[in-house]
Amino acid sequence: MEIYSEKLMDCFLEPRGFGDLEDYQCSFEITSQEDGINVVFFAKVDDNLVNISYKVGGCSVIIAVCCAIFDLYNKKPLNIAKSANIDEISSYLDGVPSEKQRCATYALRAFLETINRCA
Amino acid sequence: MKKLVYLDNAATTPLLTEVLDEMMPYFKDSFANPMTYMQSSLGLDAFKALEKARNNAASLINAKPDNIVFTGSGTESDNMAIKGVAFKKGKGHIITSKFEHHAVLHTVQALQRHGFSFTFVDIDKSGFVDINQIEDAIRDDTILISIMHANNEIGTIQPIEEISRLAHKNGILFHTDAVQSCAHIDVDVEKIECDFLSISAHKFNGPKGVGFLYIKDKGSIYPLIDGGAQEWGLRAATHNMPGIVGLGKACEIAQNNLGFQKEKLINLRDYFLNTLLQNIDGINVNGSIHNRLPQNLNIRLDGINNDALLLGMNRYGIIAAGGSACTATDTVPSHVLIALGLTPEEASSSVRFSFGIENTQEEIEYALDIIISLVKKLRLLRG
Repeated sequence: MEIYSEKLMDCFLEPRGFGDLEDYQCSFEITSQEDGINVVFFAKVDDNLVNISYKVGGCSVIIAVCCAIFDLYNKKPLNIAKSANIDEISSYLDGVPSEKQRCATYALRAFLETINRCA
Repeated sequence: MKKLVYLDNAATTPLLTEVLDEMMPYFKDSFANPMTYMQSSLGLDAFKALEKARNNAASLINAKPDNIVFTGSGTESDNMAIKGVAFKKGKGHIITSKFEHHAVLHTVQALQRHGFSFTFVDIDKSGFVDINQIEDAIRDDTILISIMHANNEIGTIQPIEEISRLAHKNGILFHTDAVQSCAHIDVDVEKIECDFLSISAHKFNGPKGVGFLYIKDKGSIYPLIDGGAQEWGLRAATHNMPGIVGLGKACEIAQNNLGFQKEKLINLRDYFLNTLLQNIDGINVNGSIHNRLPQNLNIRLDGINNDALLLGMNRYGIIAAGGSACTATDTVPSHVLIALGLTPEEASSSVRFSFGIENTQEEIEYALDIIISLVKKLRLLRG
């Protein structure tokens, strides 16, 4: 059994949706020096659809989770984005190793805080 | 087959084919117990092979064969020296450093349960122990000083000859863990004047599960494993003949190639580092680049999490090691890098590359291309 799924590796090695977001309305950043991570999400809402981007420094899983969040919730209605949860993201990535759940949670928290600030 | 560029030789090294060939008969046809040599020609053949390996091991470190005791690993050798001295003395104080391998650190800590006390001395920003601090730590009841020859993570070579002299001047025994240094730089027990020196075969292209302890005076310790009369009664258990024969062959090859290997590894390492420095900003070497094992390079890359870099490298068949490890509850930074004064964040951006005699220039070029590309990509993600 592989520790990291192919889906997770794809999101980690070829992440989509990172970078600046023009005219973003809200953002939220989380940094943990202990875990060596830094993640910030940007969002704006047009016609009830969210546009998101992110910047991330950290481990393979936090990068993959940021990419998964983009794949799952970009251009989706606000209520769908607000319902983002770790089970849905983990399922999309075909699993997240238990040792890395904490890193996945950093990305999800940053995203949800960002979306809540836009709502 | 996927390309493999193995740059984690400080963790373990690949077994050389010549070593495996030497070992093979002892798994099946030459199966005799060498302790039966007095009555069995088959046993005598095994005994001769055992003593040939002992001679090779002794020759590599300029020791006498009678001072070599075969063990199951470098960790066992460390345990045997430290606990062997402690149990012989019965009580006392032990000095070691904060950046020893866990085989020493945890062994010394375990002795606390038996009433022994200890002092862990600091290392400086360059990765060297402070002899003055060791001298200050010496007490009337200090029984042993244990300082590694070269560090397993940052490769810095410690002034063990001076430390050994200091120990003996104060009537204290001296042990050194030479697991990382042996076969890569000169290790000479006559020059070091150590009382004990630990070695593991798999760190220099020998088999896993076998090592040895150099013991200057076999009366200075109690055995760790009691039982039969093997190894002068200091390490009971039927000899691991394939392993010991492989260790002996690895010692012979290492001794013949030492100068050549050293030069090759320094050239590979320095080329690797210089190419990285020319192509990527924000690189710092952890520990001094001078007085360092030829095969070791430990760097931190600003803004890079080592997990992401290592996993990305692994995708392309390039294997190295990181300066921290993830658990479910936290990220555990290397105790060596923390002792060196790095922050947890700096430890999590540190990577150890350790080169081996089988690495080629072509492999290094391939690895450099991938690593440079990955670092740039990861920094782009960070913005």
